Amino acid sequence: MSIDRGFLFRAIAIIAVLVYALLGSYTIKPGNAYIQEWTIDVETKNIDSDSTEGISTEDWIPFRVEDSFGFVNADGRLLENSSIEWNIALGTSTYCNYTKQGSELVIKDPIRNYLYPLSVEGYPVERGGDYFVLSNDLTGVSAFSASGEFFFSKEFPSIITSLNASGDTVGIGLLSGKVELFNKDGSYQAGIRPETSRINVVYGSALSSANQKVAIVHGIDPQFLSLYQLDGTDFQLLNQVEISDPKRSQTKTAFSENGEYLLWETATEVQVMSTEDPIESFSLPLAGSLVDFEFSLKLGAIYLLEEEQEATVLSIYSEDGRQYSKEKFSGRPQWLSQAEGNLYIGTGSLLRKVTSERFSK
Amino acid sequence: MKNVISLLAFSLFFYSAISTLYSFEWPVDDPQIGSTFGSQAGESYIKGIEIFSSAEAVSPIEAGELVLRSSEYAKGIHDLPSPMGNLAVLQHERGIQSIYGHLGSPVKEDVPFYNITEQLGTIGSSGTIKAELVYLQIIDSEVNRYVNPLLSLPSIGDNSEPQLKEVTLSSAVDSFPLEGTTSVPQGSYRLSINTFDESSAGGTVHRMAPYSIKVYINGEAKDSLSFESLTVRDWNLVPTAPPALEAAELYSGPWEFQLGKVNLQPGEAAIEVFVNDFSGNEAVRTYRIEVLSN
Repeated sequence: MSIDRGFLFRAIAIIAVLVYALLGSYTIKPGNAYIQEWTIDVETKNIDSDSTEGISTEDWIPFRVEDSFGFVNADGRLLENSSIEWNIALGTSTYCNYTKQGSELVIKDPIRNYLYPLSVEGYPVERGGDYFVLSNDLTGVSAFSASGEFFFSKEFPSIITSLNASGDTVGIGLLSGKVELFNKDGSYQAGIRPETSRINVVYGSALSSANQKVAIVHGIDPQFLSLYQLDGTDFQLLNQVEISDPKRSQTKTAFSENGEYLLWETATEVQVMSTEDPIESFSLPLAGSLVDFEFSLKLGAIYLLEEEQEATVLSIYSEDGRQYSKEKFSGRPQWLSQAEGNLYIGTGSLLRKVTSERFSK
Repeated sequence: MKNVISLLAFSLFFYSAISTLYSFEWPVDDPQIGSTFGSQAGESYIKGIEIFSSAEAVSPIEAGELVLRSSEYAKGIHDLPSPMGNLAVLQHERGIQSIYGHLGSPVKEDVPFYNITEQLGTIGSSGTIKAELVYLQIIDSEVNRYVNPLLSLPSIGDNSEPQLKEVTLSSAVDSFPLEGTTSVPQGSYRLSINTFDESSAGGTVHRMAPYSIKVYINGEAKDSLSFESLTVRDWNLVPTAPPALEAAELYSGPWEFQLGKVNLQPGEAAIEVFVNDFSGNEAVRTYRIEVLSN
């Protein structure tokens, strides 16, 4: 039995179009990009005495709003709420609430009601599930697990300008223009010094354990974003992009969860680049002061949280840079995070859960 | 005689070094020092100086280019908080960087260059401190060292010598605080020196590390310490000058410096200790020791 080849090609083409229409074109439409599920006023809402019953550790979602922080679950039950002393290093289910003096640091686990005092002073940050305490003069760092286990302490001949942790790797960016990479146990992995500019300073860095990549924003005249592939103690430059509107301050830099996208801040915009195909890059304009950004793999969307005239602006873009939505809220922006594809936004004393829906075209 | 010649040579070097390095200006008028380079800070050293002033304005120590500015407060997930509060870093010639911490407000974003007469900011209490001051740190980025700012700033009037409180010889079994003449059994001893410099700044008396300590035994140079610069060895800060000890090794207590071991043989011995501050003031003590045979 013979099949007409023309018919076969037409059939395959029709099936391909149908498959694309049903699956490939699923996307967020502008009207469905911002769906507010709930809002709670953390200042007035009380914690129910039985609020944590039946809620597993994985369901705790951290948040911060003006003057306070805590944990909620996806349904908006307030599980923990405390006042911020001076600032807070917030993990997925632990925190270190610290004073301006950065003394008597304690990691708290509110689920098990455990306290883990730290033996050092300074300002803590949470990165990749661990805590890192920056020394008072920003020239050293001490690393601890979320249960207070001491990993290592390092001092540098220059001040620290960026700090990241992903998987087993910790990256420390320095004023000297170098990023030092360590394993979590403190053993040395590699040092990357781009040295491409008149003045070499690291302004931002990011690590992706998903695809072993390191991104560094560095230098003055010119300033670059350099993307490296890590292979144990070796590294290779994959791509270098000149930044036309550089900043001379800390620059937010982050990979998407799977490492396939890279976001970095400049003075006037957020740049987005595919790490697999650097030609796929675009920029998102900033109208105000960027507080944070997130890349949602589940929804294929990019979220920018900005402050504009003491109000909050949330801009939502597709993963190829089309703007879906721009929402404005009263109150200053406080927090932006994602959990299970949902977005949690702190504005003033309010915490909002925001989601999006994918619809076919 | 030998030690006198050594001392003269050292003093000559010290003063000529200081006078030739007077290349920077104080960042504030009427500067008063609250902590010095080399003082102990937790497990490490202080790598700069805290400067109090009755004046508010902070200016660069030399004309320079702003290469980094940080704000006191950061709340985003991707942000790094600044224990140094509002911070500015200027790049100067010869790879020198000057860092100004705890400023009253963030440095302007749109001014890339500062002349020595321009105001960079104001003294403040941003970051981990309570008092109003500016913290000055100098980095020689060509050799990756923290350099003692007091070696390159004009001397401020200070006529009081450092406090030399106690010199002690310690063995595993006994400890001998030295006085005019002290009898000790022959053996090997750890030499510890309790000394500090003092200043009155911001309405408080501050204790600070001296600039140098030198020890002579029977006229021969034995141990010395000086805080000219600090560098990193195995990810820990050490003074670049020998004995290059980490702070936890050098400091056995508040202002208690461990300066190595002394072997004493039966007979008479003399230990001379010279402590210098950054203004060139010197405290000298001589101890006679009667070493007894076991």
